[in-house]
Amino acid sequence: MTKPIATTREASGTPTGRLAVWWVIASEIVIFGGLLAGYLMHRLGHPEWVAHAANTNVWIGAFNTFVLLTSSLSAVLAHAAAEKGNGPKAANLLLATTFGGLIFVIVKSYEWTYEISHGMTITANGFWAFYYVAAGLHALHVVAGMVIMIIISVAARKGRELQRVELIGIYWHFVDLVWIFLFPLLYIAK
Amino acid sequence: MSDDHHEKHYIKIYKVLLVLLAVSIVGPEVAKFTPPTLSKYIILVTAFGIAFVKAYMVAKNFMHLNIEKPIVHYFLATCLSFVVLFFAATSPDVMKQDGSNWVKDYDFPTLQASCCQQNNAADCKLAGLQIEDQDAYKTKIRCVQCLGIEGYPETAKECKAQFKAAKTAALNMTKAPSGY
Repeated sequence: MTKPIATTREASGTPTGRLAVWWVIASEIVIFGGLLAGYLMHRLGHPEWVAHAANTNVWIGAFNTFVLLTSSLSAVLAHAAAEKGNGPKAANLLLATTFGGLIFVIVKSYEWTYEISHGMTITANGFWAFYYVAAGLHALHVVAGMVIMIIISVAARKGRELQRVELIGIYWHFVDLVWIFLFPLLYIAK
Repeated sequence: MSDDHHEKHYIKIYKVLLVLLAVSIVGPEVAKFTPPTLSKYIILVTAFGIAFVKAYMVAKNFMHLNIEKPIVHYFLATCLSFVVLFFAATSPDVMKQDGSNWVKDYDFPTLQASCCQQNNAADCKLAGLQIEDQDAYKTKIRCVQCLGIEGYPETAKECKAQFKAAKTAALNMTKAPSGY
């Protein structure tokens, strides 16, 4: 089977596959950056939003931060294992990372169910609109990362396409990085 | 660096990140017991300052951005500068009340007073405030939004107590009367 061209050539000094992931992240910076900048300016312009923000649960947000940081560790350890050519170990660590993503999504579902059932819906106020759009878009990225990691881990277990372990790792760390900013903005600033 | 050293390094970074996470939670909790002028700075540093430090550590040590080719840094920085440009260009319109040849027809204190004292639904909506409602949860939000206005408490703590009482009353109402 011929290898994908992205793994065999490079024009800029960075392998094309990795460069492509960085481009994805660059576009994500504009997407999430624009959303968070919009939230920030409205939050500063609407002091009354503090009454709504007071209803988010810091401990749930903190637990999810812990889960994502831990999953980032397993992602980077998977990369280290792939560099050593240890496909099965890389695959297992990727699955551990996926499990972290799963816990994150389950906790988020519980949190949202509670909030929505208590009247804190997306149309309740500008704060909740930003809250659901920002956290929802982030959760979608988590789910996308989980699906990609499962696909990559299948090949990695057979020792194939190990360079992809690093690529999904870079994406996953970015998802973690976005949450690092969402946590204080949505949960701590009260 | 050997492979084992790599793994040890990642685990060390992870531990530092967890400590920073703990500080970002404890900091704002401690700030609650300090004067408002000081608490603002404590929250800024412990929550947002530390978020930047954590982000830097993840980008450098986990994403290996420090050893990436300059071209990657250039286009990431370009995209980030677009975000800053977006904020700088649009935030004055959202955050300022007036400017050269324009005044925003939005006087929050007047709207707040109208909403809190007369429950004027249109003004509540315009100011983004909660309309008075029988729902106990909404009672809590409205109370906090109307703090300091005649007929409302001065502190959020008193609102919390009112909320608890309203919630208990609502629960008692839903219970069937004895002997029914």
